[in-house]
Amino acid sequence: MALPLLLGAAGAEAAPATQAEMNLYTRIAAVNVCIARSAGVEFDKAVPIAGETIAQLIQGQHQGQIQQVPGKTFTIEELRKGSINSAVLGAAEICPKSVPPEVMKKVQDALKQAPGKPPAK
Amino acid sequence: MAPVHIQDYRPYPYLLERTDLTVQLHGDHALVLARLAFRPRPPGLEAAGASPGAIPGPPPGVAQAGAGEIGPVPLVLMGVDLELQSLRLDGTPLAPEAYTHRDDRLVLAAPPQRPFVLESEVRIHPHTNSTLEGLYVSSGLFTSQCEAEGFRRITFHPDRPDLLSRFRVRLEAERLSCPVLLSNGNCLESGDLPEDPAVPGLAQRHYAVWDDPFPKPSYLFALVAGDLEEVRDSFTTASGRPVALRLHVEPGDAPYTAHALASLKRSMAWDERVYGLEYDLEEFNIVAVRHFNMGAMENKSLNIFNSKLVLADAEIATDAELERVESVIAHEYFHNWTGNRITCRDWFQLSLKEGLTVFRDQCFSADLHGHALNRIENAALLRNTQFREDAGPTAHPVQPDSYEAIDNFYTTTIYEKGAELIRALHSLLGESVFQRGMALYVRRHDGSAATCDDFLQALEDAALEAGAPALPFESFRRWYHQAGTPVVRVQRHWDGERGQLDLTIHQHTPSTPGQPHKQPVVIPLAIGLVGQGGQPLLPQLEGERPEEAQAACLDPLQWGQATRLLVLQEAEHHVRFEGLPIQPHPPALSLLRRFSAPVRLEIGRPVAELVHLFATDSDPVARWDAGQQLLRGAALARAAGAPDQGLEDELIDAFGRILADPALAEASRAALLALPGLPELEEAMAVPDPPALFAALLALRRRFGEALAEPLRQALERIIPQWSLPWPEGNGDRRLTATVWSWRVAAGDASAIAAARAAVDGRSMTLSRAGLAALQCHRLPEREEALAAFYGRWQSRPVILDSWFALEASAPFPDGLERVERLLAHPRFDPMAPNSLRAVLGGLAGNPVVFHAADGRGYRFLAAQIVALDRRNPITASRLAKVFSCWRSYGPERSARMGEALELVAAAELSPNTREVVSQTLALA
Repeated sequence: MALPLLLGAAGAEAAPATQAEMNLYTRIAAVNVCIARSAGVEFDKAVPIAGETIAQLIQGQHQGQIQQVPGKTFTIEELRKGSINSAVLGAAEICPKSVPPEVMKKVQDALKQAPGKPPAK
Repeated sequence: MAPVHIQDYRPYPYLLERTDLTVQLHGDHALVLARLAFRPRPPGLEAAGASPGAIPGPPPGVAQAGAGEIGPVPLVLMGVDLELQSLRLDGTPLAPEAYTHRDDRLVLAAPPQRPFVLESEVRIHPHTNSTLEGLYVSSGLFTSQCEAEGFRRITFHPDRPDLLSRFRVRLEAERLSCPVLLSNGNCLESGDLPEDPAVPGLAQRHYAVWDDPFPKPSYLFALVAGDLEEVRDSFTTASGRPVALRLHVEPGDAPYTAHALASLKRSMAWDERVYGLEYDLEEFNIVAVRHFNMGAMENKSLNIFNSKLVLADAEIATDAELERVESVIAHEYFHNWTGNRITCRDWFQLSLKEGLTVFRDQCFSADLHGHALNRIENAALLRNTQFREDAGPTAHPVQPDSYEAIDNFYTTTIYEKGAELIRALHSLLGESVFQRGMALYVRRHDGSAATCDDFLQALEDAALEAGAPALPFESFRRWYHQAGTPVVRVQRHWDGERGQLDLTIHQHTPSTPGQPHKQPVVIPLAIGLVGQGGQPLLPQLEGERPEEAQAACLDPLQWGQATRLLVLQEAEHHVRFEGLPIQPHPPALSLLRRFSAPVRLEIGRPVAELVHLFATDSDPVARWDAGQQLLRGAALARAAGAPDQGLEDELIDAFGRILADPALAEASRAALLALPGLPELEEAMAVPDPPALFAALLALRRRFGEALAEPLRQALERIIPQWSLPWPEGNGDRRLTATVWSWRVAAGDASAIAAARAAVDGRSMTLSRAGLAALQCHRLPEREEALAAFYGRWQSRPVILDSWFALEASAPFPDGLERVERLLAHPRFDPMAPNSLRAVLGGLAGNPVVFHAADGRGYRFLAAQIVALDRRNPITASRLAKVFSCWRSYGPERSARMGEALELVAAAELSPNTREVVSQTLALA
């Protein structure tokens, strides 16, 4: 019998999350929602888990700070609220079929009411 | 669980001639009909090498008679989690008073004292068997794992390695879900089963009958049933017999099997060429299974592999993984002789098959890919795993004398140290005598169960027969019975006016649990002397003529220029070299060339001497080792908060020369530039501080990356054209790339960061993982992008995704535990797969910053995970529990926190496996 492989590992500091990092985290969370949905996980369960991922990432890696909101340190609860919305928006974008129709409608309504994106430079 | 002692061994009182099984697989259970043909063991017939004792011990309330006692001897069969449906003796149902079924034993108090057949029918539940022992379901596939004691989870059976029987197995299952039915040996027949008139409309069922002509112990039984894709190949043995090779994988995985099949054929040819051992059946099957506790299993003609060790090509596996796949395929194949044809008498002899087979697979890999690099890898593995085990509370000899759970003894001591002992014998006897001994061992013990002593006796007899110089085998045997790593301390006296070098070599083995006093062992110490110009000096012993000394030197291709093998046997050994250059400074002492013995070396060599050896030693292993000692010194100084700038400058100069040396291959360059592992650094520190050591290594990478920017750039320029060469070509170039990226990313070089990030999108898994490893410790957006890209690309391939899980779990950032929690809840995380568990929990345990955080949260978190895992999979849980084994060495604060975590585990209801490890770990005073 052969022994199983052993795993070793590999060091770190904190800075506010940049826009690029926020986009990345949202993408990861959204992908997680899509995967969970395809694995049969209910939407209402998949979203908080994915949202938690973003919240924990911002708190753990950036001590709750986001570059776009300078000087503010978000609490984990504040981050959770915002993260859930981000996860839902991300999922609506990359796997809309995984989002229940009533949620999808709310997303579309919210997007219509949102101010327009700044023009590309 | 009561401990089992080697002195209690007795041969089983009955011989088992046949084991005939019918296994009916159903949607939620399986029925196993076993027909066991026994006969009483004739008086005086003992198992090979048998000594008094009984394994397993007598059941409660039943005395186990020894050979020669009068009256029927009870028949003891083992069975775990079996629902007994019926029991017949020679066709007649057994009356309830004729047997007892208590705990894990079925006992017939007075079986017939003539040949008889015992038939049993049991119901088992493979679908809910999460232990991954016995018969279980992995991703819809019925599969088995019987070593060490899994067969008793399939049917009632003596289930001991010294009882060999012929197996015939009939498998029945639904054709649609299980079109492939496999067992050991050759397939005799297969076909559809008639519809059951009592239950019309059932899905079509079919059957296959497998017969293995070679008697084998039950631990080598295997069964696989499921929907598998088959890849065929063939091999013709040296004597012209065709062998059908079949590799069975999950649908869609066939494109990744070519490497495994080619490895198998190389192994078969190598064993014929080097050992003269041919394959003995008409077919050889390999099955890849996702859920597997170990690496792979050598079941006779039906090897079952952890899928990570079969599915591999350059796009989905790293060079190191390709080589690992090749060596594990070889390892399991080589077991056909060293393990299957000649098996172990009892589990105390585990190293007889594993140590010997690891040695064989190491030689195979060395023949294919280079002896020196292979040896460096062996030595680094031993120092970072086995030496630590040998110094801790779970230290045990290569041949232990007692155990509670045998699964806990599948250790680097049994495997790697066991292989080192075989290698030491090989070095002492030489290839020719060693091979004579192997041939004698095979001749004597083919078809039987043997002991480590039997093997040593065969070598001793062959040496005698060949007229080889007398070797103190009796002292050598101590290696098998003494735990702990011997320490060899060398003192020297240089007489520069006479050109004489005197060495006084002391050996001692530290005490280990239960073994306070040790005796000296036989140590082959390969030694070389290096002159001031880097030239090899003739190691001429006192009283020898130069030509005699020359003749006594070992093969320079294998051992480096002018190497002598000293055989240490006593606690103190004196040796004088003469005829050396008359000069004030002694020659540099190159010791333990080719890592000639698994020992620790203590010798106060100044930095200048090590630098000299690092630059000039003709043995690549000793050269690497000199560099490792320098690097250890630099890392320890940094960890202590006092960087040794002078030493680091010496290393930078040496590395600069190595990077530019046209005589070195890139793989050698990469090996010489490799930093020591954290475990060995922890061992070298009086009070290990893992986060400080980790920071020290990171700082060294940064320093080297900054100071060597231009040589590293030039090296990269040179090796990039070789990136795309197919393995094994280009291996060294890719390894060196990993070092360049690691150092240059640490130095903040934007182009290295970009290259490492981009590698994740490329076609080479080696470079992809090298990029991820380089970025792993740095809080850079490119790191997150790279990991997200890796995840996005490989999320549907669990074997590859495990490395993503491992990287995320080992990320050395403050949110480490939360990260691990999220990974454990990740939709792609499979809590039933040991590979995934090892990736996440092993990643955490190897994460010096998070696991060893001062607040002890990492310890408590892992403790809770071990307790939870133990309920599902004791084998994997007990292996993980060993990460706490050195808990007392970490200083008062960390030790206290680790102790608390261990107490948490100890307070839980545990399996015997985990209980044994935790008790041993806590018990050491």
